[in-house]
Amino acid sequence: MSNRRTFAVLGVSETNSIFLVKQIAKTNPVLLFDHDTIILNSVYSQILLEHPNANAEMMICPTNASWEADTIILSNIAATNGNLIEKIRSVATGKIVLFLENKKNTKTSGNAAEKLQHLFPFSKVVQSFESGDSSNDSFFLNGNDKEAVRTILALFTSIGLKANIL
Amino acid sequence: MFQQLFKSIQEKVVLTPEEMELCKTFFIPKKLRKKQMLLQEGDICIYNAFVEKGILRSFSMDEKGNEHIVQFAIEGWWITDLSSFLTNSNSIYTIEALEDSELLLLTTEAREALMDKIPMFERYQRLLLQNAYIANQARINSALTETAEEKYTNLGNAYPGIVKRVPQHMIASYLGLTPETLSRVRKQITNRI
Repeated sequence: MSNRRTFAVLGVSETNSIFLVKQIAKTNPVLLFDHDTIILNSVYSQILLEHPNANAEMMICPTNASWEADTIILSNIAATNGNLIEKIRSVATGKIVLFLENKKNTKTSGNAAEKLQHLFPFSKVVQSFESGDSSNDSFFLNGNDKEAVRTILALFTSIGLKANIL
Repeated sequence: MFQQLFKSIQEKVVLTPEEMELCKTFFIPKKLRKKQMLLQEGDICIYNAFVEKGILRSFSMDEKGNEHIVQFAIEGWWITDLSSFLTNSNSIYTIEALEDSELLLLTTEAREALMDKIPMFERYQRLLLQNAYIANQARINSALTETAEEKYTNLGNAYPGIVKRVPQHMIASYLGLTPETLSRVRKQITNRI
């Protein structure tokens, strides 16, 4: 199929999300959503400033962004927003839902990815979190669907990030 | 989101409400914008796409860069490169949205699992393939035996929605005519009315 996969990034205000979305936008279309429109505008402007040819777009609706996307990326805040999850659940069926867990700040328990998989029973949830070393480009990946985890590993590697499967 | 799909299914087989709910969990909802591609020539076609809204076309391209349209798909129709989809081979076709479209995508694995869990879905798929085969035979016969005017008139009678929504140069490509020939045929028809 078309190799240019579209990514919906829901919640772009966190460091992990901003870092990742900038890398992905270099090569793939990205649809950005955040409840905070000032931050959304700021991240969008940063992306275009750093990568003038990036195919990035601000979205006003998380459902439409997720519906159009092949892969949905949820920031830590977005993943704990029940209202947002309810809005995107039906259009996430069969898609990879990448959960960017911020271990340093999260108050969620260790099985957050499992909880998310429970909320998206027909999606392929992959959890990503920083490996803990000083750089912010090294991640661990985890998930029940091995193929989905390998797909995200390939994505991370292709955009210059270091990642290991747990 | 599943209105057209269930309409298509219920026209051929009967599913229980439980089977319909189960059915929903196998399809990937996907929006495509106008001119966005679902499949690119050379890639493996991993989806059989059902059109809930919009219109798509599949086409191949010759060495001179001319496009040859093999299929249009409007609401309620399926579109894929069946050979690539079933044999995992590289596709010779590109599939593109001609309007903003809403699709329901089925992978080979999901299709197999769905047919396994819901036997009526297998019957539905068989009837679809049967109809597609008949339509292909009719298309071959049309290409071999009909005049340009007959091809255009018959297409318009069978699928008025397609002729109204698709640019004329694409209709010409689908019928195997040059745009000039199609324009002349349309003028002849108009003058006769």
